[in-house]
Amino acid sequence: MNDFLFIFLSFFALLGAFGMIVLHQPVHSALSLIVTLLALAGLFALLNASFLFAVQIIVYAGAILTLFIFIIMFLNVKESNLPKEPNKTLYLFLGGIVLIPLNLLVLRAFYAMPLLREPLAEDFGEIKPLGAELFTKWLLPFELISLLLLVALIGAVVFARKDEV
Amino acid sequence: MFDTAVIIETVVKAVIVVAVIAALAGFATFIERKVLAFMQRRLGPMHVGPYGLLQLAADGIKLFTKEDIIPQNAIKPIFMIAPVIAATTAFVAMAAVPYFPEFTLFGYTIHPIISDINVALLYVMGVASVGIYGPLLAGMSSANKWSLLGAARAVVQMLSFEVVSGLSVLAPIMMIGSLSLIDINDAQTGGIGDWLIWKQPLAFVLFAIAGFMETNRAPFDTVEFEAEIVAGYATEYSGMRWGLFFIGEYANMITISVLVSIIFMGGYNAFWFIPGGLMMLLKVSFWIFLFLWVRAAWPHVRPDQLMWVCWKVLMPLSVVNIVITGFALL
Repeated sequence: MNDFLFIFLSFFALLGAFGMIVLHQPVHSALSLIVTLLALAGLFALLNASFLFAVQIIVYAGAILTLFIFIIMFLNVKESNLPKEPNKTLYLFLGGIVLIPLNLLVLRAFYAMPLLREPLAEDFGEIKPLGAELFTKWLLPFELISLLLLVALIGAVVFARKDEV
Repeated sequence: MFDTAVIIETVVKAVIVVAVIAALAGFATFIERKVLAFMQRRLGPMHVGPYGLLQLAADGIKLFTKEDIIPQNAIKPIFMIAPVIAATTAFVAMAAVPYFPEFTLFGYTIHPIISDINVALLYVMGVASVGIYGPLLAGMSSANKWSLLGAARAVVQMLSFEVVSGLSVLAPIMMIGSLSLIDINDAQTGGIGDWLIWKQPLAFVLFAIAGFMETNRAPFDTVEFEAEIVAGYATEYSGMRWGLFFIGEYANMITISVLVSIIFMGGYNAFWFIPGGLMMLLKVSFWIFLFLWVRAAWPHVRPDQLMWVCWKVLMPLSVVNIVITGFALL
C-alpha cells in the first residue's frame, strides 16, 4: 500500500513538473505546478512529516501559487504576446543534458547520507519536537530567514507606496 | 502500516461523511429560505409537499437535469474543473474533523473521525485555502468581466482573512498546546465554564468574523454580490456545475460551524444530561442559524471597507491577542 501510494504520488509530481515546463500558456504551467506541490505534500505525509505536509499545502499550494495565478490573470497575457518557441524540444533536451552533472551530484549526496536503521522516535514529525528543535538548535538560521522575509515584505510595501509630493 | 480493515473502515466513514454532509448542505438551502422568509414575515416555499419540504427534491431534479452550458470563449478544461475543485476541497477538509465522541457499535469502538492527524487544525485550514482555486479558476476561465471581478475579490479577500483566522486561532492553540481537534475538545471537558470562549473571547469573535468571510456569507459576500457583479465568479455557470459551487459553500459553512463549536464552545463534550453527540448537533445547528440570521439582519459592506477592517483592525487585534495570551501563559 505504501509503495503504491508512493508510486502514485511520485507519478503525479513528475507529471506536474513535466507539464509545467512543456505547456505553452503560463496559466497552465502554474496549474500543473500546483499538481506537483500537492503531490509533494502527499509524499511528506507518507513520510510521517505531518507538519511539513500541512505547511506545504498552506504556504505553497494555498498562498504562493494563488498569487502567481492571480498576477498572471491580471497581466492578461494574450496568445500573441507569448514568445514563439520553434526549437523548444531541442532546447529542453539540451538543457536536460546540461543538468545531468548536477543531478549526479545530488544523487551522490543522497547516497552519502547515513542510513537510518533504528526505528524513529514515537513523536517523530509532530509539531512540538519540531518547534523545540527549530527554536533551540537552529535558532540563528531560523531568525535570519525570518529577517530575510521581513526585509522582502518591507521592500514590497516601500515599492508599492505612492510618492508623497 | 495499512491493513485491509483500516482501509475499509476509512472508506466507509468517508462515504458516510460525504453523503450526510451533502444531504445536510441540500437541506440547509431549504432551511435558509424558510428562516429568511420568517424573518421577513413571509412563508417561504409552501407548495411542494408539506410546508414545502419537497422543494428540496424539486430543486435537486432541476439542477441535475438543467443544460450544462459552457460559454464559447471559456477555457474549457479549466472552466469544467473549477466547480469540482470547490466542492472537493470543501469535503476533503472534513477528513480531520471529529464530529461526535467515540461510541461502540456491535462491540467495535468507532471514532467518528476519518483520519486523526496531529496537525488537524492546520490541515483543515490548509485545504480550505486550496479551495480558493475554485472561485479563482472559475472566474478566470469564464471570459466574463463579472466573473473576473468576482474571482479577483474572492482571492484578495480570502487570502487576507486567512491571515486573521490563522492568527486568531493561534491563541487558543498556545493555551492547549496541540493542533489536534480531539485534544482541543478534550481540554474543555469540565462543563460550560471550561469553554475556551470565556478565556479567549477576542479570538472567538475574530475567528467567527473570518469564518463568515471565508464562507462568502453576508455581510461579507462581496464575492458574489448580485447588485454589483451579478453572481461573481459563478455568473457563467449553470446546472450541476453551479450546484457544485453551492454544495461547496454550504459544506464550508458546516465545517466552520463544527470548527467553532470544537475550538471555542466545548465541542462534543456531554453537558448536564445532554449527551455529547446531541450537544454537537445543537451547537452546529445554532451556528448555521446564526449564519442565516446575520444574512437577514445585516447589509453588505463594500470590498474596500472589508479590506480596511481586515488589515487595520482585525489583524492587529489578533496579534495583540496573541501577545496578551503569551504574557498570561508565562
